[in-house]
Amino acid sequence: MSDETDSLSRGIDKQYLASPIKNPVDKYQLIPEFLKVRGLVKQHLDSFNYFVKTEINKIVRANNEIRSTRDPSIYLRYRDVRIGEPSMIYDGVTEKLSPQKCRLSSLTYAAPIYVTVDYTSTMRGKKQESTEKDVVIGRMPIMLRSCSCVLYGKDEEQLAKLGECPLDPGGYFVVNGTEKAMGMESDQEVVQMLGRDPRFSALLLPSIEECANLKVYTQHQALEFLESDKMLNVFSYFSGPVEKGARALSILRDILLANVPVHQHNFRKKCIYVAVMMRRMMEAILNKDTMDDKDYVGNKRLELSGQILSLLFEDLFKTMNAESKREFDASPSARYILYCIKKYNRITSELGRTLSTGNWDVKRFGMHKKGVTDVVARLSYIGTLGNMTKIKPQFEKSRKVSGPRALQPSQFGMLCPCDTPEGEACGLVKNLALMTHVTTDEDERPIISLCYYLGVEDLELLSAEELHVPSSYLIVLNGLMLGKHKSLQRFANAMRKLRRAGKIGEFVSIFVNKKQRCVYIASDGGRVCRPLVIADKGVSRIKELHMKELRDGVCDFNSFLKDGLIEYLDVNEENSLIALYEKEATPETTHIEIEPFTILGVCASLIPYPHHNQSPRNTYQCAMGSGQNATVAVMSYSGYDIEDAIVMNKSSLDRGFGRCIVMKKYTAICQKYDSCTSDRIIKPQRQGYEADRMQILDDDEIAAPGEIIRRHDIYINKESPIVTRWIPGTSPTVLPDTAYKPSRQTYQGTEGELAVVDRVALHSDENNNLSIKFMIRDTRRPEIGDKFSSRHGQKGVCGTIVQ
Amino acid sequence: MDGVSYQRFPRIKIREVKHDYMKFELRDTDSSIANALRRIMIAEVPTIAIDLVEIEVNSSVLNDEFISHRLGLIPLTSERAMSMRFSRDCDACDGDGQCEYCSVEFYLRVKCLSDQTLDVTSKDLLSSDHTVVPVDYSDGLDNATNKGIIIVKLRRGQELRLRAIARKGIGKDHAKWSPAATVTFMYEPEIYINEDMMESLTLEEKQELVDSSPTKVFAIDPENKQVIVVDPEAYTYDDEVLKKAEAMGKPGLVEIHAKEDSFIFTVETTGAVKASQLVLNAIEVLKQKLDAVRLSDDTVEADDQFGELGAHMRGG
Amino acid sequence: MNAPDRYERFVVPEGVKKVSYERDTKIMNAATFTVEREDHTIGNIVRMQLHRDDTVLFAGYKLPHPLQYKILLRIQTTSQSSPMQAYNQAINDLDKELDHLKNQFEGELAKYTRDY
Repeated sequence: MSDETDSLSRGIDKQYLASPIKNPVDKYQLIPEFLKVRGLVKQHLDSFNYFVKTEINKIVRANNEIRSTRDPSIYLRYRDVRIGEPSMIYDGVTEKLSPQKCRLSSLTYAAPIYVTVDYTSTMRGKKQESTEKDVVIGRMPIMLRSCSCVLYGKDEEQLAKLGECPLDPGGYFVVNGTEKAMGMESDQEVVQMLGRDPRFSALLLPSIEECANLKVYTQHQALEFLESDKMLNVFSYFSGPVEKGARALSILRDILLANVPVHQHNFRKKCIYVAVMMRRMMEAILNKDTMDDKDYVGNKRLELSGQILSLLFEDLFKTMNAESKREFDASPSARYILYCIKKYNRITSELGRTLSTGNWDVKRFGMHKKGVTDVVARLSYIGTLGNMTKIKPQFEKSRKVSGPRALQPSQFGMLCPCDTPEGEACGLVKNLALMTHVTTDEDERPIISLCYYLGVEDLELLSAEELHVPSSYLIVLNGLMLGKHKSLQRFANAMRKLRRAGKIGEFVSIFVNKKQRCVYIASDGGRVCRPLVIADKGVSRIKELHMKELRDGVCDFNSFLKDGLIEYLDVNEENSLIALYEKEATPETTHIEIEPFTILGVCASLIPYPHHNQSPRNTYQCAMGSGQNATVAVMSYSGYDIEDAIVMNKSSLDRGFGRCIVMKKYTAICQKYDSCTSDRIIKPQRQGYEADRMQILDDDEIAAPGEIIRRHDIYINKESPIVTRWIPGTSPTVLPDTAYKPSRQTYQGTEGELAVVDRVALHSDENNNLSIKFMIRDTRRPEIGDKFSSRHGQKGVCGTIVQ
Repeated sequence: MDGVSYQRFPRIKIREVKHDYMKFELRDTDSSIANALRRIMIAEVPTIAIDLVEIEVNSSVLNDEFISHRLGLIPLTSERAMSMRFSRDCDACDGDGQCEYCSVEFYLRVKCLSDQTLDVTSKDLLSSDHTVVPVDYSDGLDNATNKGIIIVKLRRGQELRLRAIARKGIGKDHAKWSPAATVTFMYEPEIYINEDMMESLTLEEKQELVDSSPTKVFAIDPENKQVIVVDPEAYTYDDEVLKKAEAMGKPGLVEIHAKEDSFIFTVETTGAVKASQLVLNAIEVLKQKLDAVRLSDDTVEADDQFGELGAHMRGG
Repeated sequence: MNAPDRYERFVVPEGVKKVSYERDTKIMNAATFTVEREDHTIGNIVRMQLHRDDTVLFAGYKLPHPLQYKILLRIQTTSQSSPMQAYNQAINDLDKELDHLKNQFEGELAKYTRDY
């Protein structure tokens, strides 16, 4: 008997193992795993980490020297920039900061930027090089949960100790006590820039004729022509060499197509680039199909907080250096300059100010953006997450255009098709889908050398004729032409294999464009990409055993990536053949979706059965990502439900349905004045006509937690001196009572609500004044007129409450 | 006045009685009485519930209002409620809880001293009146497994100390005073099967008809293969069987009517009062309410004068 | 915030009559009773009881507004009776019916507890 069952079960097992995995539910497990590793705000954190670890170094290294013009042997040089631990200096003592402390005390959660400075010092008339370590040049606001944050890598218990919610995703800043999220900026449009066709010569003829008419035959003549008033008056501000023709040449070298490097006046690469551009333009004239679609998501780059912040920092750093240099020219003492740098606080203040206002005005880079930061919406957890995945366009939204607003097919899986606001920003403001990742910059040097190793022929070595041989393919890395390769497929496959093996970054995209006879390799930041299951001839690489390992916790999402079961594809590379379900895969299929619902964003994926809804309902629902969820029975009753109104049942409200707690913050500051006087808090009157209003005051003259506070109640019994100006010649004395006037603060809540003093916090603010914060709590139950909604964009107000 | 009476003589048949559950039939009256009884049982039979809380110490995670709300919802045994006074009508006290006629005092003093989470439950409420205590839901369970209704959980060092005053009230005021968990009544269905028509059906068709009802109302007699009504009260007035008969081209195969004067009541209480007592209290409350809406003498007088005046005017 | 107090729905304010009576000025033997702080519970049983009365030509009630805690009961009778008479009769009959119901229930309950 036991033998029989044994063999039987084994038989079933074998069958089970041998059968193709068809159940789409199985792969669902990957999504929580993905979110565990990456989270929904990982793109912000990655971007900020990149800025802190790499970008800031680059910026400092690029502007590392201040040299006196008067005495060029005196200089000051930065090296080794790093961000310290979040802290603030308080009465000359450095105090460590935690985000919660900043929120409570209206501080900026920032960390010092340390640099090591080498400078020339003069010792007894002799110049020598000195080094000073850990010079603070400013304070950088720190993104919560980034690598510089105190919360980084902390477990739940440690987070609780720091007063943080373990579920909070981070990815925002705390500036002057308010949480500011940065969001993503989109639409930095990148149109991929890149023979002899008889049709082209016809198009070129007019240009050549014009050259002849203008008597431009030689290179020199051409440069002179460019410099003539007709052409270059636009660049008149340009301060460079003044020789004839040299200015035009330097513009050609430094400004025209600045992305193509010029080594030792070798313009060949640039020439080819221009040629390829012209060719593409002419192709576009002849054949409209070859035109790039500017709304195509593959042509767009997202700008994340790290990048935006780095621009600001670069500008501030350069400004600081320029100002220091001016000082330097006045007094050539490096030590004094160092002192100036230490005293310089514009970096700190500007970073804080810009983050809190959200107005990015960086003249150096011609950047004028408004509303870059938002106050983090804390109406609900989902609302907060939804806020973090928002993508805002760069250009004006008042434009009456439909193109950029339309749903782009290339948006599939990357940007949520539902989540967009109604009204003027409709279709322009977007949200990331669940599994979308936004790339950060990656070093291209290893990729370049790999490409050459894989048989890419350098452009320098090719003749113009060879460039357009139909049998070879152009290899383009981040818009830079590397060279040509004979076998397109072999090269692409080799590159992909390297990526899957982890030899190059997982977010590098290899995109074959057969029409343009190009292979585009992209490793730049800001591309959106998402993970997909790799399929070999239509068979998924993920087998049941992998999923079992995942369920057992033996491996995680990253090991799937490492094992080459899954890879990230960006929008361009996504033009491979992707099957939605495994059962739909054909031998040509290269990839299989992980789960269909990952095309939705955070808010939209919480809608139950969204595919049964009318499409705009899902959009409306996404705009209401807040509140408590309830299971309800619905029926029509009494006529107080017309026009989307809701009839509610009183008993359920009595039992606690829809109850919510509203917290409000009130602040009182004990101001110190120039006259060496300050506000004072005085004992409450226990008798007299005002005693009634001072009931809630404790013996410490401040409202006590737990007290019920009514309208017009005094929550702090404060007095201010009448004369606050400093009168010369007077010395600080104790003022008599008559020199004070009452400046008590009264509660201005609405009549009839039951508000309670929840917490009272005392701390010093940045000006060292005593600041008292009152959290007032008010429990509210649903009333007629309150707004409610289902999870399907069906909102309405409560019309009546029925007994 | 002239002895004409339109009074009815309703009959009652009790089917099942448990402590907090009962089922009975009410016949020979109309739905208005049945519905009035149901409504009164839910909203107007008085019970006792915590209505005022004075918090001394609360270092738990829930705020004062939250705990007060939860305390209010704990059912208290309320046999005394009918004879108690409403606090607003009580002239023997000033509403501070020290009144035997209108209020009952409770104390709760709990502090967690161990590392294990401490559940503060309704069992920790100490009553000043042994007839008014939190309802015991142990139902034969031993004390270790049954801990009462959880009010809040405390971790080490947290404390809850409060005084609460329970008062008499009705469900109309706040649902915490409602003694009813569910009170429902249904019309007794009268199901008629047209035997002649049924004869013309095949066994499969009969089975289909039986299966069309979402609840088990009909069955096929295993002996004579006839469709029989096994449980008329399982019928939910869903019309599915009638629709099926229509779809089979046999309208009138089954006819179902609701008896207009016959009701089946199901009463379930929170345990504050016994289910049977709830019904009796409801009748009593309804009587009191009717008494309250009798015309007062001054109204009658005023009308008599008006009537005379009117008659005078009409006559004149 | 502006919601009426909870007790408003069942405590008759001072100086307000529980039942007020207003005779119809145009129709003979017709009147409207305003019953303060009552709802469908009373309204419906009184109305149904009135319908049993042969002298009542019309009896109806309404709850004018969910936030006005009162009902309006309108009665028109034949000349053999008057609205007030019919109203009193209905309440008396209901009272007797409830007395009967109570006795029935207590009897049945005693029988049930004895049997089981």
